[in-house]
Amino acid sequence: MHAVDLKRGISIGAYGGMVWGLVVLAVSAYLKFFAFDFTILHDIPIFMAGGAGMGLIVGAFMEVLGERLPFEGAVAKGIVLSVAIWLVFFIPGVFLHLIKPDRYTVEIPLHIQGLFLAMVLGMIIGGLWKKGRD
Amino acid sequence: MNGREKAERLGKDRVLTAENIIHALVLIGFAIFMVFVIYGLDSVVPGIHDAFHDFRHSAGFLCH
Repeated sequence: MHAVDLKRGISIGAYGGMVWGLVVLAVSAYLKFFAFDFTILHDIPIFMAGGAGMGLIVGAFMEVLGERLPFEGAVAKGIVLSVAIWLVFFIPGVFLHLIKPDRYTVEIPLHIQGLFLAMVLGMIIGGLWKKGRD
Repeated sequence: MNGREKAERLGKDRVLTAENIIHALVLIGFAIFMVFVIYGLDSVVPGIHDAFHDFRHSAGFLCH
């Protein structure tokens, strides 16, 4: 059993998440599945903050559960945790869609993009994790 | 294992430090923040949900 150092998990997750936020902005601007409501200048800090929020949660779970997961390598563990946390936030939305289909709309291309980007978040955090260990 | 060894072992494996509790609270805070970002609750913190509209779409969460 290793001593849990949440600070390390949170720090790596937050830094990785900020980078991921910029990746999300770039991919979304390139693929253009929807029209942005705000300007890039407004969205850069917003995407970084949102990315930091997601990354921080993934990083903390990496620290707490990382050694217990039945996968080899930090990148694989990061991807599994990142996708799992993305699903935790995504699935309640599906239930809300079933209750109020007019309010919460399903847009398959965007959800596939989000799932793919969740994997990218896992790769970034896993990569930083591996680098931190070396 | 005598009492002292046991205490040392417990100390080594102890995970509930004051620092970890603070960081766990930070984590809970950010988890709640992400719920605001993704699902709104504008009556609690007005504006956050709208500001993160583009992020929510881009990250693949359900929006309106």
